[in-house]
Amino acid sequence: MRNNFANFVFAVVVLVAAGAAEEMLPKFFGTGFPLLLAASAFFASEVRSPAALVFSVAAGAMEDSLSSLPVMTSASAFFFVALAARHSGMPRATAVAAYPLYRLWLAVWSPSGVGNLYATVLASVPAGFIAAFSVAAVLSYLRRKAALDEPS
Amino acid sequence: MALTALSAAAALAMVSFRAVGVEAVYPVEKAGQSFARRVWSRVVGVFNASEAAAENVRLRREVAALSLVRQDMERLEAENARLRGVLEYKARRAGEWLPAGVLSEGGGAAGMRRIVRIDKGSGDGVVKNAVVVVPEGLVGKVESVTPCTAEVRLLPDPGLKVACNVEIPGHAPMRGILYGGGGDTLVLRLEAASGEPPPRSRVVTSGAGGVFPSGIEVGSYLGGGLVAPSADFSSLEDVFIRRAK
Repeated sequence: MRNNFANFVFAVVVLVAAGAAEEMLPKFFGTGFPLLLAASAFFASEVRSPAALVFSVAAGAMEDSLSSLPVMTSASAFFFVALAARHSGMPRATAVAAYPLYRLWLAVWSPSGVGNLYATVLASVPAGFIAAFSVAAVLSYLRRKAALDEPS
Repeated sequence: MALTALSAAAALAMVSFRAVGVEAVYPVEKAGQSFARRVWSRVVGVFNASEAAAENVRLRREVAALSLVRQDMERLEAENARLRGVLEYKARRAGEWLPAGVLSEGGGAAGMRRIVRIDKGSGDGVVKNAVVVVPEGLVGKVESVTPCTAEVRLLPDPGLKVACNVEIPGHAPMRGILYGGGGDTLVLRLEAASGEPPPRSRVVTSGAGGVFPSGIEVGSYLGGGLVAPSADFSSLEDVFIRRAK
């Protein structure tokens, strides 16, 4: 129970910190670093509880509210990314591959908001790579330090 | 099980109330912004100490001059109100400019490019559709408000339309509707096809439509229905929001 609560608090802190960092980090060709998406993929793969999938919905909802997107636009996308990451067991590769597809998904719902689609999809590959690997490294380290990776 | 239930409750709250996400992030973002600005000003201050001192003197003089202009304006405003009263004109909506810092541009990683988030919200008297400007000209209008933040839709957004006048010296102004063209320039659709305004004509808000007050500088006419905005949207740091008095 204690570990459950610690995991929940950790997830909330990650959610807020990743959301704030996404907003503050610079964007290239209108493309930011998908920290929330990468965190969703990481948790889905590392935490076997269904709560990890719920986290992906919360992360997507956070993305929607920060980016002024229609409700559930990102939440639904993040949920499918989390499912893919869980079943593939490769959270980093899934996040890298999913980010350009997510940009295309956004373009369907808000064509005027994404700017130059070609440039933004192209820029999303390195941005997704950097975000996926750095988020996985930081979260792995923090979970190990906080002993959250041990079974409760 | 308990973890899933807790997480589900948190996710449901965020899906249901969009402001929850924005407000949760706000303190972290604000602290980060303040820290970055302080550190940056210290770094710049070390390298540009003499320039900063000169700029300080110049700014003090400018503030003194502006305070005199303000006194004049207050006197004229009082006189204007008195004359309007004599003529039984409808009183103008009084307002003041509230300074606000830009927290982020384009939102999260989704990167909606034509919005910015500012650090003033409904708690500071900011309301939806409030006008946002910089000294150079019109920036946009407030799209949504949370208690501590507000989201501003920028002028280049194709969804934002502004009633404008093209000022032509010696002639009546030409009316038109201005909207974002998707790039750095704005598109002006003139109401009546009564010729082309001369290039570099000043474009200002007309006040029609009721959202934007008249006379706010928007940009200059380039020709061919294109307008170069006065405000630089790529480097917005501080903006001013029109707030009812």
